[in-house]
Amino acid sequence: MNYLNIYSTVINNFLKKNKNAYNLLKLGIFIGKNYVKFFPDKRLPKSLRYLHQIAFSWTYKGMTSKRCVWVNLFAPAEILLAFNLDPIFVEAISAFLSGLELEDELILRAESFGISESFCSFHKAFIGAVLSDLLKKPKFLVATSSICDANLNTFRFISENLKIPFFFLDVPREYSEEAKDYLKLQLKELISFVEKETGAKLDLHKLSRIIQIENQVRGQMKKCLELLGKKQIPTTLTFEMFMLYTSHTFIGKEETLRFYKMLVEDLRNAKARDKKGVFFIHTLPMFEENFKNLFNFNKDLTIIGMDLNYDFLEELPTDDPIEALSIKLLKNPYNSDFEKRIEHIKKLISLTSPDAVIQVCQMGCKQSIGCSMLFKEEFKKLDIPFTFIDVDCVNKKNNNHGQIKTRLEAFFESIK
Amino acid sequence: MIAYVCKYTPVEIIKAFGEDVFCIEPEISSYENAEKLLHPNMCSFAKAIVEYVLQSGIKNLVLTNCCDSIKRVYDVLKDKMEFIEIIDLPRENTPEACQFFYCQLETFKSKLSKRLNREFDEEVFRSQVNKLIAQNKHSSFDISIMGARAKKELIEFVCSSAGGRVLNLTCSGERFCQDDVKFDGSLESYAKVLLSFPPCMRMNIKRKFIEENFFKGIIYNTIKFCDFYSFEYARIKEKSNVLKIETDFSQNANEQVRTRVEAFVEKTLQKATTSKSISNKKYFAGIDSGSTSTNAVVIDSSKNILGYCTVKTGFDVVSSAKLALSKACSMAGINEDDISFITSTGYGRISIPFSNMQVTEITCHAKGAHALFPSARTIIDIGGQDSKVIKIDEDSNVLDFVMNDKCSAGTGRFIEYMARVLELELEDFSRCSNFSEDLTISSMCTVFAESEVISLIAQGKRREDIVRAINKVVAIKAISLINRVKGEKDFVMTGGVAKNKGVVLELERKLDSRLLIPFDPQIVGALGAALVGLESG
Repeated sequence: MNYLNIYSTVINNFLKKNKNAYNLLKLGIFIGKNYVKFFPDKRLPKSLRYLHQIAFSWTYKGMTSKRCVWVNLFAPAEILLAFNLDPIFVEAISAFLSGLELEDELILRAESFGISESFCSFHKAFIGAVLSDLLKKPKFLVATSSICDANLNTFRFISENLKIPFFFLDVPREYSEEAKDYLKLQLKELISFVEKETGAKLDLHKLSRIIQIENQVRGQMKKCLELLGKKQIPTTLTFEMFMLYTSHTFIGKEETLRFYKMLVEDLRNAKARDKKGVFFIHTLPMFEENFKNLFNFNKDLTIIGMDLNYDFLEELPTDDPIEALSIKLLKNPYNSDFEKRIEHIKKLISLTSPDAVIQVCQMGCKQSIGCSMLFKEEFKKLDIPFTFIDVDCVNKKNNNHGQIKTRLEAFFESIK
Repeated sequence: MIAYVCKYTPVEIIKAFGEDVFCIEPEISSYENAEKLLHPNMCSFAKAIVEYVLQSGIKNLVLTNCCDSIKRVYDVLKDKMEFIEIIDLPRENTPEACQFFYCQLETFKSKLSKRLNREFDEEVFRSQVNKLIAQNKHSSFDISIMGARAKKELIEFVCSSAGGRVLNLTCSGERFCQDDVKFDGSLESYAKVLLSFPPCMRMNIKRKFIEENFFKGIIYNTIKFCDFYSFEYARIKEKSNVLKIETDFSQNANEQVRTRVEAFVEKTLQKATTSKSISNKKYFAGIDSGSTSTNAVVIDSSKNILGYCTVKTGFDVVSSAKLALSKACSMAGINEDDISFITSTGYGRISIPFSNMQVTEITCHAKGAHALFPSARTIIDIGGQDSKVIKIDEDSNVLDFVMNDKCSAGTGRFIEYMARVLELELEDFSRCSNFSEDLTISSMCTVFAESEVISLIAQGKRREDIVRAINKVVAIKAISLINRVKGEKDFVMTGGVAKNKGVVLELERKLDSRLLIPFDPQIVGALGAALVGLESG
């Protein structure tokens, strides 16, 4: 048994006995944060080692700081960053908890409370952690209706249970002038809400500066996409998932810009792609053994990217940050119908030329799994090998390893 | 003819164009076509819509972006319709949301006008909206059905069981305004009218009818893979007047759902169905017609058990019931004619023509377990097809109960199935005790659990250890039910699975409490039925 297993067993025992394990969890992330800083994985390029550090550091802050705010992945965290708050998206917390092998107990807790078995396990593990007092109460909650139904459900539930203020943004599904007006009014209300909760005034210049950084980050992302088609760097599923931090909640941070610049540099200096490149749709099962064996530092396969890390690539106006944020939310291709989503994915595919595409059907994610058959048809037209696989990225219990192994191996055999 | 799905659909605009409009009530028996277009793990309602639309040749469809599943229904049907629209429905009822919704209605109206090439009749529109506003506002109801969209057939069943007025407040239930709204004939005010409907869970609007709780009973419907409503259920499940059911659109309400609804109505409205007159004789019989076995118990008026018997439920439910009753009578040393009152319970209760009263097994288990163990507060009944946990008070009144959903995981059938895979008799299954390795079967699903068992056999694991792992799965499933009713000591275990010492042991370990097991765990329901008969006299 290694140290991580012992640590996980101790927290699980605390949970089973209804003891508060927050301090233990905090200690673990603190150790992890310093471990990746002082003992980085030497197999990784510099950029990903840096990503490891900043992701750990933001998670630590988001889970321990007095100024932490829980958000969903698509929430306009720029506003929170402008107030020097420490946002953290719920999926990141769940992924961490699953990495610590705590999800089983937490999901059981949520299901015993009445949450349905088919609900997204990212959200369910998080709810279980809240019900188990495993997390420090945040200052408040911010979530959008974008893309996924689970957001409103989870955040409303947490707000009611923990009695925490919650601001919900109703994001229309299509971009239009009236949709923009509706959303801009809500964003202004969100700012007033944060001002009330923090007692501070928003510095609009700071918010503009954040949008400026975002634009620069997207510039670097586009360079990455061009390079990813030709080059390969040693990576793992986990690092592609860590990029959700830099492509969403923390996209306006200076550290993010530094990371992407480093990544572009690493890709430029990397060797030409000679492995089969796989592009992922929706998410990545970073804890599933078969996927880990196939993709982490593999000699034959490489991860090209995941569409969610490149979901919005337009340049935003910096003179009117509220306008910019409403454009970003409304023009996200995942918020609308399949047609927009597939058009966007086609652009990513044409930039990165993958050898195969895999859609990960996360348990309970109707918005994504509902597109599986349509993806199949589209990729057939494009003549790109495609498969969708039912995998639970958090709840390992839901995964039938034997079946996943067969499906993955058969898929790669078919494209040899 | 235009079809729609969501109650927020601007039906009155469609009617004002002189077009017929109807709400889809999908009646389908399989998802043959739908699963070619949608992943199987989509909610059964969404799949049923796709199946129904394709089967019945609907060509004009109006949807709203009410949930992720319906958004995908739009995507997969888009190229198969002559006219299909998805209206952007806000989640709020603020002035800004109304203004935004008004713009969406305006757009819809102009698209429809283009499609139909007809004039919009202001008069018809006005009268239709006024008719809508006038509906349902001041009525009171005994029972409300809430939660996810329910099949028409289920709503009708609830109505007939309750015998009173039932209000359908499920997603896309009845269309009426919950607040006073003024309508001035404009589309702006129509937007306000629509947004004042009792909100479904996708709306970020307070569901006042839940908070006010003025119904005697709430039947809370959930659909697998529609997750909105489990959140509200989790919040209100403590209320004594709530029953949760899970339904599917490819099936009619099965016996289990019917039983639970009837038991709930009995509990809520305190009524039972008496069908025959009572004589003055002094023996009472209870017959529990279950999926696997039929049990009969005969008692006297002092509640003494005189005879009991368990027989296998054959194809002919009535013959099995007759056989069980005759054997119980012969054990009691009386003639069947001496029985003054027969109460039937279990799945087959309504099929037994010679019973005087039918009562659900929930009520009967509560009575029976309490008679045997007055300290019992939680009954864990694991039978052939069902597992249920019933929480009772000191007078045997049912405080709460839950049942497993359609899945057989954690029931006697699950153990039977696994015993077959392990080539063991059920009796052997109970005898295994010599454990050496703590194995785990992670899947709750019978089919997946079977493959896990096969893998364990292939790995050369010991049979006894696999048996223990199976017993643990059953215990875990029961624990999750016990947690849902917040089960308290003393625990009584009934049903055939109570004879499996392995499961009992695992449950005791997890509950950290001793389980009380009746001398014959299978007859508790029948005993309860006999007692209910005695008390009703």
